Amino acid sequence: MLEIPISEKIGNGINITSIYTNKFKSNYLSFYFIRPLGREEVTLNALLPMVLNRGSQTYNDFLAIERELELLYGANFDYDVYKSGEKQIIKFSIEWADSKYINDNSVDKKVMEIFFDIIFHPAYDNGIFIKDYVEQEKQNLKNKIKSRINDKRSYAISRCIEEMCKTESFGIYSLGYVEDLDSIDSENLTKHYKKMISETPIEVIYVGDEKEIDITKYIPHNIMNRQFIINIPRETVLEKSQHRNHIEERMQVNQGKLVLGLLSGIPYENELFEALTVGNVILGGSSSSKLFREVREKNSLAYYVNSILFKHKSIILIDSGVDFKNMQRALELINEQIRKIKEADFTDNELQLAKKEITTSLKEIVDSNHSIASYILDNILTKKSENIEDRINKINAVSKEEVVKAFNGVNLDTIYVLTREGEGDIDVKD
Amino acid sequence: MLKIKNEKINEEVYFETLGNGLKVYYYPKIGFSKKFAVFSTGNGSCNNRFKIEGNEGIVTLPDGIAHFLEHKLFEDPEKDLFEKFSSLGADVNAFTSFNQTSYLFSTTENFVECLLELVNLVMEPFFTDENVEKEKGIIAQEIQMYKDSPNWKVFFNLLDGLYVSHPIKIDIAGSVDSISNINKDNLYLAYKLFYNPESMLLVLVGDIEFKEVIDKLNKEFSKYDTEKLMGIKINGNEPATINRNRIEEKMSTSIPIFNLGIKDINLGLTGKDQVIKDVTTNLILEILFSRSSEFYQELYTEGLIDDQFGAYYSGKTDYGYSIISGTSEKPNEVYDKIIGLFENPHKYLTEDGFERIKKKQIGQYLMGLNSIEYIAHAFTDLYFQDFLLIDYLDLYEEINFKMIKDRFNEHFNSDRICLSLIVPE
Repeated sequence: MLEIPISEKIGNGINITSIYTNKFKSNYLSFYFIRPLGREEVTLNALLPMVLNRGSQTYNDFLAIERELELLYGANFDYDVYKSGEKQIIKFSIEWADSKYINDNSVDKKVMEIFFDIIFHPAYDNGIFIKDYVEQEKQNLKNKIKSRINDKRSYAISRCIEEMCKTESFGIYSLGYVEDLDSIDSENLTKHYKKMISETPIEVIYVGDEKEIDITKYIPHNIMNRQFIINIPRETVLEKSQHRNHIEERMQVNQGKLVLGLLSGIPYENELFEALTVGNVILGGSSSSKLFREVREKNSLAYYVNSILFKHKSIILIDSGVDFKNMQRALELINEQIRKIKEADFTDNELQLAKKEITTSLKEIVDSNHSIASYILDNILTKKSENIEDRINKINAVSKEEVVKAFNGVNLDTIYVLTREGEGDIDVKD
Repeated sequence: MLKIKNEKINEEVYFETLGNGLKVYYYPKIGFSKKFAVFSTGNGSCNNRFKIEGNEGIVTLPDGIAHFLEHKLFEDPEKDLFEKFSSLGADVNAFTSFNQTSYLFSTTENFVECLLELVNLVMEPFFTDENVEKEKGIIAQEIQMYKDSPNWKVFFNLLDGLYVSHPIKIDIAGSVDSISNINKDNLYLAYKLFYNPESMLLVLVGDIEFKEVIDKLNKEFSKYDTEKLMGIKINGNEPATINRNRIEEKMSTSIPIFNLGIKDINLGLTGKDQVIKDVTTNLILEILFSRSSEFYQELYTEGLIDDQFGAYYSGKTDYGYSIISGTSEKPNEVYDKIIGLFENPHKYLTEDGFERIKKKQIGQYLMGLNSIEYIAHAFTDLYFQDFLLIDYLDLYEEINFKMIKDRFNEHFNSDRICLSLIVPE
């Protein structure tokens, strides 16, 4: 099983973790800027990698970038902006074929150069981002934010979180807001970028077989010698729901969506957190879970019904696609399953199945370079240095009593319903 | 046991035919924790009309029956199969495509036991009036879910535009109406037609004791006395022309979504010829429409397209299509530009571009071999086209720029283009 190496501090606020393995036919390098999730900068942060990806000092436009990447045997440069708890992660990554299989030793060096050129040496015009690039990417980001409604399932989930965490930063949409785009221009975006690279905690993770590459050599000196690094506080975890939310939205859809948001009040540092994790899987984390069996298999009400635990905020979300006429019944069935876990109405077999489900997916992490990197980052963000085996042992040690105890703190906070015009309201009661 | 090795990429596969005629391939990935098995039949949603041996007349099955069967094979008189796999530490799943239905699991332990369960799942159908009725509610919700997906709708509308009678134009899951005609009798009939071990395929990927597995499989399969029907698939007479050249539908989306499709009429190829055609066409689409093309750059800087823009070719022996897709406030302008490109491709379809894209695809194929799932699925897909995944890389050496130009001239014909649009309400 994979030993997680200690990450190495290579400069103030910048660490690198390297995993050497010959299991994969490629190398994977990821580079994370970790920002606080806040309304004042969320849209700026989402826009940044889009503009950086338009051109660098050496490769002036994306045509030049793409062509160079293709010549490097289709090296995959990618970026992502997402939230992890109340942190906004700006992630850049590059994956490229191992030189053993392409008989070309010059590739590694060239990959490093283009990767860091895109992140740290943008194409400037008079010391600021090229205006056309900024304006075009603002338009693209606007479309991206608006296209949130296209996938109804993920839309319903993100709307439920938004309503549930209205007063907390976790409720912020990770790609930002259309109305915040107007005030962004090349000048203030450049200013934000410079501030961002000068003060943001950075994590670098490498998975691959090239022990020879000295990644630090390619990172600009000023990044390795920064003075002031911001501190990002841990997310707050709400225990008791202040008021029950019931949100109904109407759209022209064929299927209704029902999303329930629950507060658990058990932070990941708490010894009951593993029990909460197991309980969540008994409830709705697999195809042998209570929700799958009751709502789908026995009552044919839904094709999908799941529950997801958001680790950093200790929130559970249950989501399902249900016919409008069956909403009420589905809601009752879901509530009944939650109650069953609270009342210890589940078998030892169900407990064991849930543990298996979790431990199997933990064991599979080592088969993917991307999953290894995410696991390491998760450890870093939660300030743990936990090997996969340790986590497996903790999950296996969870008892039925602990699951019940953990679930007794679980409270329904928000019910979000997506329905269509002409359908009746659903009756929400305890 | 036969071993096939490709030295260049340092990969190998083992092959064995079981006593009942089932072909089993093992693709070793030593040092991986995960083990993966996919058990497939080459029958999917397009297999809907048959001439049955010894019978007059043609049997037409209800739309969506292959997918319905896929759901129902998870029914067992004695146990909950999902639970059984969970208890062994495995995740079991299945999917149906146009011409394939596959059952699969991944696990880090109890591999042989899981594999025997998978065989049991597929080989022992158990349909009752009651369990068939119960499934209709679940599948109806699956159908409704897809109906709300603009990307799914724009794609199936396109196929409806490109094809006149080919069953590819029918939604894989059928419709709420068509599945109401499914009952245990036509399910058993479809089962006997679709699930014949002799024409099925089992692919295993991971760190596995292959010899032991083969012995166990031979023993397990001897338990099933399979009553089979030999059916010959009836292909309709799909014309070379298209059905409609434009389809527009309103949905609750934020921005118009387009799929521009080109119908392939160079059909009937198998094996290496088919795969070369596939690879060549995809190379052309990448040269013309990927982010490294001047065409992409021009449209992007004009604000006509965004990073959702892309293109791919998909095809089998009896159908094929290229799709160029994306989102745009001005999809008609994008359409005109693409047509303009087809009429005058010389600026864009360059030998230089060809060499670059070829390099890129070689690298990406190698990276694909990191993934056990990718290997299993790509292996199965290519096998049903009579080709081995492990030989894929070697194909690229045979493709030259003349083949690219020839295929361009043959396939990219404006008479066979359809534009499918989803526009906001």
